[in-house]
Amino acid sequence: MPQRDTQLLAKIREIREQFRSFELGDTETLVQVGFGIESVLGALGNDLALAAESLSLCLEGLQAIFQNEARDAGSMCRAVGATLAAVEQQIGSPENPVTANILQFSIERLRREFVGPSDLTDANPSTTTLGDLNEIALMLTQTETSDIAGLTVVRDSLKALAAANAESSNRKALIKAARMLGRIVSGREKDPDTVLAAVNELMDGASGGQTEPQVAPSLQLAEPEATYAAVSDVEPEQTPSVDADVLAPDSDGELVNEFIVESREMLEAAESSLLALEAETDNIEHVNTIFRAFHTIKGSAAYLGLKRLTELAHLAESLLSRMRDREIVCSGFYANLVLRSIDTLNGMLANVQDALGGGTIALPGEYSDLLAALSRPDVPTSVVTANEVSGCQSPCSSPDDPRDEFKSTRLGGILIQMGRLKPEQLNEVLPPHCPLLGETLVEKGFVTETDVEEALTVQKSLRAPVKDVKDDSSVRVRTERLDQLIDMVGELVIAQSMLSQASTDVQGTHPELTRRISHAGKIVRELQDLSMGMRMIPLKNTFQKMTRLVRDLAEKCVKKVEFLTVGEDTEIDRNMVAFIADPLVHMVRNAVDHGIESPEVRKNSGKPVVGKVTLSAYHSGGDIVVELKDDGAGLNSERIAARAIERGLIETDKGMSEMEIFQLIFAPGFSMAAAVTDVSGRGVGMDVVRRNIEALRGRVEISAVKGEGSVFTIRLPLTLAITDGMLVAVGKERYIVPTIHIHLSFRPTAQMLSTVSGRGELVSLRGELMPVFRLHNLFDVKDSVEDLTEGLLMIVSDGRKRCALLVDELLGQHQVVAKNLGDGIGKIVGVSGGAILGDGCIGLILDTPELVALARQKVNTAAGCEIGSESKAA
Amino acid sequence: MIGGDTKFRPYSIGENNKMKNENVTDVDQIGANAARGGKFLSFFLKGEEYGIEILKVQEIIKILPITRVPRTPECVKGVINLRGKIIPVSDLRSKFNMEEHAETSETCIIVVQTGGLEIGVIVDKVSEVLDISDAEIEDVPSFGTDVSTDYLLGIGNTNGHVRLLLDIDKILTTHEAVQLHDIAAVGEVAMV
Repeated sequence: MPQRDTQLLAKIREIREQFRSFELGDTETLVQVGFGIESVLGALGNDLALAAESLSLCLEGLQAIFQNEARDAGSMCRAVGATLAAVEQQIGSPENPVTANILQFSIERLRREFVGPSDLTDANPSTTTLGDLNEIALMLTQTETSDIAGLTVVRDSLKALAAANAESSNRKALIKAARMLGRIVSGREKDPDTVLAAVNELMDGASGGQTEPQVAPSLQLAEPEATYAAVSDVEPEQTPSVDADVLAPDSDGELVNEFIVESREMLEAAESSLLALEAETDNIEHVNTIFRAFHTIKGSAAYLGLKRLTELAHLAESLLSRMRDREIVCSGFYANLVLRSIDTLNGMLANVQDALGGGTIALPGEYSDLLAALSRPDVPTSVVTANEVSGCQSPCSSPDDPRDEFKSTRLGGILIQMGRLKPEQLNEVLPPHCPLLGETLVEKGFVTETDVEEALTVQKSLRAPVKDVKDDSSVRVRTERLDQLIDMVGELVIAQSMLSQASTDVQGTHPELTRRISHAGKIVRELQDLSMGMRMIPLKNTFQKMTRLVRDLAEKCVKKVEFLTVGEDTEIDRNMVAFIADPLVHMVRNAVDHGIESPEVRKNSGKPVVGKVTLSAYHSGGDIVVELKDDGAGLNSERIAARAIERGLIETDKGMSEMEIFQLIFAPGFSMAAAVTDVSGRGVGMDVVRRNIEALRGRVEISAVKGEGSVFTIRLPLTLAITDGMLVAVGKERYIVPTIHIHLSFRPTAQMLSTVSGRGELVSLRGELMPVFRLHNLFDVKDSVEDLTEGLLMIVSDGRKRCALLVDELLGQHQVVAKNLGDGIGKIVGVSGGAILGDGCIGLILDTPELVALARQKVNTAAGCEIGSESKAA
Repeated sequence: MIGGDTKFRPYSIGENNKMKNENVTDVDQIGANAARGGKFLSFFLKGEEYGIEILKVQEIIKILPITRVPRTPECVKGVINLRGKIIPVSDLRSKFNMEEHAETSETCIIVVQTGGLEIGVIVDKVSEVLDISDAEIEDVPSFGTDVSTDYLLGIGNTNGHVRLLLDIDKILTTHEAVQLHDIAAVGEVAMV
């Protein structure tokens, strides 16, 4: 070690010794320490720039304490102390990357102490080194000469870049620029603006001169991942958005896909934790979950060479680490920032998927904005004092170990959380300096020893690396395989039922056989239940998305909405989840946008200012019911009817029940934009709602009370795989009608029937006139019952109007496994699929709404023809 | 019990031992032979013998109960339950505008795979699997503007045995009936 450094070391040790005895108000020591630092600063060589910088920061810190300008003198003191310790280590072993790293952290911490609550120009401490020259140049152009922190970041980045590109021709320019900036930062420059302009020029030259992108080895500053400096030859002014990633053509598609799937799941979990965190801001476990998600994604993305993803994940992680350290509270702006990161990451994942197999990965538009926002997040304005206290106490262990300075959970904070200690008491003990917090607290009699021990255990567990991922082991299975398995189990059930049928023929002679077959039947049924359960997933995720939606919408519409979810553990077929999400979005949007009134209106009408939207799910009679309830303005049936008449959907609302009028909002024509302006115009996207729900063989019901709110109820079958159907016979053929579409069935008497010329047959049931459609006509079935009074009429509805469908007879209710008819046959109007019946034959499942539409069309064309021929005859 | 139980694995038509022996197709030969030669499954329709490429054939099953599907073209007989899978069945007789024919014990369904689709075709009788070399396949004479020649790969002529080799992909992906009797006429002309 050079002589000079040895002297410096001794000097710094002395200073630290002095500083340790410093107490607030003791200006004399302060001045002495200041002088000491100044002398060391003078003796420092250029090779210890980082140390020099930290020392000058320390000086500034001391000055702030001296002039009583520090935000929190106690924590400033500790930061200075830690920095001094780090400087000592750095000088002691300048080559050691760890000491540099530690010093960097100390500097960041110290710098944060300078930031007043109103100062918005603070740079994110963890991004002291920016990625590449372009970013640096960009940052520089946005930085004012007065923004010391920003300039420091730029300078550090330049240095790092210079160090990383030792071979580069730009190195000199970079170093020069860094030096010039350094002078501005330290205030030694008289005309900072001119110098800054010169630096800008220098930078432009440097980025122009760079001919081929060079990837820097990971730097030993801050976190190594932060600095994968890909220097690009693109001018920053021309492409403010950073250059996109390219997926290596030889990249393992399966691996990437797995990464995407996994990342999505993690982001989902992160989002839910984030939303939960907003409600209970002090639950560190939520932060850990989010942190884990970002961290894992960062690691995997880096492994796959997805730099942009890594970068974003890293910056978000930095923000989260500040949350974890209780430096900032996750709410409002920060929560939005993290949410945006999640969204953007999701978007980027989709782009990665698109680019699979080679090609450029498109960057989402908001990427660069978000990156900028993340790297310079606003300084917290709402830092809670309690958090502040817990965030900046001295560690109970030796202050010589600067690593403790950035550990998250502090003993004092834990004690406060445990309710054993009051913040005031802690404050009393803490400043300026307290080597062993626990002991001091016990000495002063604030807490008992057991308390401290308990707190220490908690602290230990909190500090343990966050690896305790929940241990519900699972296997990832392809949905395809799962579906195949379920199909086969379905077959097994049918085969088993055939077998047991056959066994009844020989019942008397082979009692043993019958017994065994029935035993096998039990196992098969259990197997069926099990396999059905495998594709069920809870509605939780879907509901969560709604939570997010309501939150965003309420913010946008300036409304106060409380969103409650009930029964989010209700399970639903995983294939249905995708279908139900869309309608729910529309319904929730309507509820918040049009249902819930503005706070003023609510106040005036005597309702609580905060509107309430409840989304609940439960089982009811073999169906799943999803209910969306709001306490908003409700639906105005008169206005809906008026609007429908205006739009030509109905001729008159006479004789229409309120229910029927409400159903009108599902009509496609009703969702016109003009209707949105008013409360009654709840028609946006409702067409989508109905269509999606009907595709799932479900139905939507509305009930609403004007001025008191409305309830939208979706009824869905438990699973898509199994259809509850009524087996009907028409001639020699059998069809399955989904039970959910059947209102009732009856055998009409001659009095109930009438025929209207050109309009076909009508049946009157309890005063309601309905058209009669003959299934055998629609499907050209031979040898079926032609006489209406001999057959059966099934009342079905196509969502709007009811009608009667003629069949020969009902054969009974069956649960069938709905299957595709095979791609070779195409789409058959009126048939939604097929199912294998108990005897191994196939029964076709009717698509009732479609069938009714077809029948209406037929009647209309027939009527049209008749009129046409009549007019011809005339 | 119903006929659904009489299922056969590919090419294992009981009485036709020939097929069993020959059901290993020489892939190399097929691959190298970009031309039309190869193994063909021959079957009968209205007394005429036809052939389809063996590689398209997935399996041969005895006739099963067929569920009619309304509002489909005449030639689509309906759907069958192939071990839990629903596949459509097309009647080649009606596809080729031949008169209906009552089912016999020899009536079979050949399950073919074309373009990712599984489709069953009903034929009167399955005959054998045979090698037809490239040299034995003659072009369909392209006289006339009859579209129907599109549905033929060629005419196989082995030892005076003439078989029309069908391009089953094209036949099954076309929805209207195929005018095959004309082709038969063409085949006769070619034979002469």
